[in-house]
Amino acid sequence: MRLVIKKNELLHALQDVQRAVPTRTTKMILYGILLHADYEKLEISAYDQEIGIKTNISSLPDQEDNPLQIEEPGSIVLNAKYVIEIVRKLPQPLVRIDVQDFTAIIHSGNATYTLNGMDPREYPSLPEIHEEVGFTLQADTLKMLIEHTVFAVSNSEVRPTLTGILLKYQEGTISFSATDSHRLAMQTIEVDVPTGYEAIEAIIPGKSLTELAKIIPDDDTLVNIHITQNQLLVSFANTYFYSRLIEGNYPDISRIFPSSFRSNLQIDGKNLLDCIERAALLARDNENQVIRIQLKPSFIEVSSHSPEIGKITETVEPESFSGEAMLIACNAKFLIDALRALGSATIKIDFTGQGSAFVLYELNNDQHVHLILPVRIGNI
Amino acid sequence: MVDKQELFQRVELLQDQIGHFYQEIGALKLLLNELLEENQNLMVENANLRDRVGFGEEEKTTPGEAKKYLRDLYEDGFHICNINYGSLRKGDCLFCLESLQRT
Ligand SMILES: [Zn+2]
Repeated sequence: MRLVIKKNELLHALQDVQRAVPTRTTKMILYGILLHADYEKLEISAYDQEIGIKTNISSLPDQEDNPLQIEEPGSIVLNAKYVIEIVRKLPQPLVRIDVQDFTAIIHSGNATYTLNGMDPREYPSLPEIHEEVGFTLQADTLKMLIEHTVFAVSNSEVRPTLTGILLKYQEGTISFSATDSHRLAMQTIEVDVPTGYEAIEAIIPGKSLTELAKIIPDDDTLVNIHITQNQLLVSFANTYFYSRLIEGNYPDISRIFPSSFRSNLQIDGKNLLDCIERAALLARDNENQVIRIQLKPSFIEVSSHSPEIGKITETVEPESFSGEAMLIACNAKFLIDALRALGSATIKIDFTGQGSAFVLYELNNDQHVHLILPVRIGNI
Repeated sequence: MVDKQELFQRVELLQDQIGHFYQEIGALKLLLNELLEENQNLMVENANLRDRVGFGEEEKTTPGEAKKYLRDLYEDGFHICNINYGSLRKGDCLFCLESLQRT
């Protein structure tokens, strides 16, 4: 392999695919990034057998601003950490890479690095996915779906299904749901384009979606999503993102939504968030980060205490309140996660009682919902 | 002199086998979970059936008792939902509470 490439294009691609390089593994080869050039393009990819990322840089010889000149095709696997650090620090905007056997010579300006590589034939191949069925979303919509839900997945491997987000497509809607069995986050959107699927349910690892959200652009770039029996493929621009799916059945979450409420609150989301964040300062030390919320028709009192440090009490005024006065205790972090996702508009909270879940959503928008189970007052 | 190539191949083989074991354990864990859930359902069903037939006057279990058994198990700190039946719970569980309400 012999080629000349723009440093920034190369660095950007390496940094994107690096997200699929494991931090710890027993297989040396997986610490590497695979570079593969034919006469048209350079493919840069990494695959830890859980997440795979591939990005292509095309050679455009007719263009004045050609990012890549390929003199001889070939491939090599280079240690991700070293190649990224080296490329980042190269002195000139152009880089020459010459590969002979399993050694890469990297030139830029007066700097020359000789980097020992690994055999590309030993690198695992990315899953093969037929792309005929799938659906398309805008990158920023997909990012929103992920960011509004992913924090609620479970960190415990005891029940693997809950470590993933449930993607559900049916009757013109797509929903993302996540729960750790104490709280749940759900975002639904309407899609008007046919997808080629009747209906799908797939459980995508939360970790994969967190990485995906970091590499998809923050704009209306179109993103194609394909789901097979056990793989997800998301493609956009020149990049392909693969993730395994989690096997098993996701629990029936429709049942855990309370159907009747005893109190209802409307409040400015930003005001409530600020108030909860202040109260949470003293809740960090107790195990469940518990804060108390006293609901009264005229005001809401948020408080928390830490036996060693002290206590904090703050009141906020709701825009409206109806139903019974009530004392609720709950995990501050759960509430903060939900309120941050909901943003600064007016939000609505429906309470069922001390021992059952309360529901938060944007006023007049039930497509973005959070559900939180209070902590029993006797337990704090 | 040890054949390095062979040694390397043996280590690789071992590595593959360990990977295999992992998968096997994962599969067994899923199976165990399913069995626990099934066991739970059978227990409730059994209690209900006994009650209906009036079987064994002394050790009669009523639906009320089955429910109490589940509630006690939950209060003792175990999941009774079919997501995690029988495993230790930390804090309350949305799915357990839902099944307690339903039974
Ligand atoms: Zn449970």
